[in-house]
Amino acid sequence: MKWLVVAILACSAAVAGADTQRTIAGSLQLDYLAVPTDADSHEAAFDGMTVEAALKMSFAMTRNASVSVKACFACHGFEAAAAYVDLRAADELAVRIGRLTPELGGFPQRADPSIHHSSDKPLIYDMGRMLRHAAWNEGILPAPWVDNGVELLGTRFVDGGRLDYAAYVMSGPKGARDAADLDFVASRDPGKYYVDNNSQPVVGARLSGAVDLDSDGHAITLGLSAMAGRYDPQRELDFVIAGADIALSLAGVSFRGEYLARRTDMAIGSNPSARWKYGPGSDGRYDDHFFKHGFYAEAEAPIGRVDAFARFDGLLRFGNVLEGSPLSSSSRVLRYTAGAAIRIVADVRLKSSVEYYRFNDLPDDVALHLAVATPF
Amino acid sequence: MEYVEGPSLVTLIDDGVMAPLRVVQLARAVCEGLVYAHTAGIVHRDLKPENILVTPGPGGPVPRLVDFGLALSIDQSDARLTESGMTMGTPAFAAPEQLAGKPIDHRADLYALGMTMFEMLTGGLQPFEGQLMEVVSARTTRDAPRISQRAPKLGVPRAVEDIVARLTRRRPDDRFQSARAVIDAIDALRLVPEAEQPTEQIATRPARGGWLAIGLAACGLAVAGWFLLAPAPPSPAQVAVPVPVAAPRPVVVEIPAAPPARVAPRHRVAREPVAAPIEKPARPAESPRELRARIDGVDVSGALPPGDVRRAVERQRSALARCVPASPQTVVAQFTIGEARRARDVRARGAEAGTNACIVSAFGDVRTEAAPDIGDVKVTVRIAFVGST
Repeated sequence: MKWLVVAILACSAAVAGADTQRTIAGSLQLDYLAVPTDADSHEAAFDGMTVEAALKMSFAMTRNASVSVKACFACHGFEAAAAYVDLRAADELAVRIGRLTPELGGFPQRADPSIHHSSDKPLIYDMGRMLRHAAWNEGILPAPWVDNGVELLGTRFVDGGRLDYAAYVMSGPKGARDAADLDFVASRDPGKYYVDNNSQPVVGARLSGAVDLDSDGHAITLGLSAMAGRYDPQRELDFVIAGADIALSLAGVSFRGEYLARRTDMAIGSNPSARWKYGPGSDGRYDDHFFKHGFYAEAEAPIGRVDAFARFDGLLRFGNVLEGSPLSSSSRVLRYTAGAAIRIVADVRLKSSVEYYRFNDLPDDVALHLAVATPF
Repeated sequence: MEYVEGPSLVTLIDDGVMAPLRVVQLARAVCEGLVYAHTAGIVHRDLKPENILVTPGPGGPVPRLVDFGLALSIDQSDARLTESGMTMGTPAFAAPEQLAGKPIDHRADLYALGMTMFEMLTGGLQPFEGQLMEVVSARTTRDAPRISQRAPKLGVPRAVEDIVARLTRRRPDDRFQSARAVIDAIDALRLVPEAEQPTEQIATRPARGGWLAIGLAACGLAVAGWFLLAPAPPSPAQVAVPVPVAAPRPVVVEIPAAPPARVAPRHRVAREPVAAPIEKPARPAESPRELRARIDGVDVSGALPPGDVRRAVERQRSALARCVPASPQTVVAQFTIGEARRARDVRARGAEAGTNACIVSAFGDVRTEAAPDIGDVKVTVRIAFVGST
């Protein structure tokens, strides 16, 4: 991995200021998370300072073929966030091959800290910044989800709008033998992510359409996404993710909303009474799956150099939990966020936000974020 | 035909803010002329204070439309028009679609009327401030501000302000759809002269004093009649055209070297956008028909593959073809692509204002297949308008 990063940096230096067939871009965010309400939360959150950095280079080999490579440095160390080739036959048909972020949902397309104005991500796409993230095992699917595979995608431009579609075959998230949930750490483990754990790919698709509301760039976008497959080495445990998203820009204000749900099989195990927190149901059987779903609704409004935003999001989980889990069979967390991103100079933004968590199984919490983020 | 002299509306505007009553009376009269011209399928294309002469009449000042030199009829292959190709009008009064080189119709004249009324009511203020390019860019991207925003202390009656605001909407569909509709809106006002009341008041019942409108309607008939009936124009001059129907007043036109031919009444002006020189049309050294737009370079800075951006730019070729200037020029256009996957903050420089504005409009429609996943993408496009080989 380190060699990959070195290679990217070397290439980046070589192409900086070179001809127009190459582009390079990067981003950096340093975030400070403070949790003043509950000392226990400190142990279950990445409080303190975290840094995320990304560097991406694209190279156009021909008019219709390009290669993109993106390296990230964050909680998992250095990671290849993208390494793919794009082959485009037409606007309506292209194929993307390599390590990439498949099309799932709306937010993953703007997951880079240089784009979204909050320091963290919606709960359904959380990748470690939510409080109690270990108890919840993150959200539905951490964003950006990066995986190895092939994606067919295209765009149909029409008068007054567009239609985007994508379908993909990926390695898929990983889980352990007799797993009770997806193992996101193993899925992103730099030492393992280049191989599939069960050689059975997952499949997914996304369909979205945008309608221009005027010629000033105001539009409404609707999207539908789904992904399904198996995640354990025995190829016995299924998962299905499905969701819908909407984005509306109107009079300078952006509104976004998204719903995402995941049904995940769980291995009951050879000794379920010791493994599970709750006993069998009235039919004498233990839950063999759980259902997790969530949403967010947010609004952003530019006011001079300040982008003010507010978000309401939530995560809900239904189903048995492992013995020792602080969650119940019906857990819920709702979060209320308000904040502002202030443009300091050029594209450098100072982000600040306050988050109020309401857990039904755990004490309520407050989190404070202060970050500096910039693309470059 | 008689030679007519008279001060243009510019003189009156230079004298200061005009009373709303006077403004709407003059505007109504101008509309009467436009009604007939538009019904005859003629679009003035260069309506502005300089082209409205105000002459004394027995009942008060009478506006006279002049300089139909840029007037255009659709369905005709007027050589002069197709050669000049692309612009028309004076930038300060030309409609956004006119500046952008898009097809125009009679509603472009209504926009120009609105801009003229804006100046009359404000003593010469323009809705947009700034350098020419900024103004052109602003007008092609948003509605004109209301008079009360530009000159809040003038106290222009809201109903009058509403009429001007609707006339100066960026999108033709948002404007009044005909000069007749403007007349109806004005007739719905009731402005009381300052001499009769301390302040001007507006009521909703029809106003009296339609004689002026009738007179101007006749003027309009005369304008159209001249275009329809004149077999061969004399040399360019300001002449008064005898009124072909019972009407109290002549209309003054400046005869173009090649007046529009007689056509069936239609309001749509051109299938291909036409552009006129920014000021007085001058015959170009090279016909724009012989020029084509060549994309010389697309520089991309940011997190999109350059090929993706270039394809997006090239999708605008047909729109660029409508921007061909009168003579070879090179234009540099810049824009930004963000998460909305479409160009914003589009700028163009290097060519005449009309061409730049046309390119701004064309590139405003640039859309990419994907959004940049890091920050925004900055794009610089070099376009050369060169002769065909």
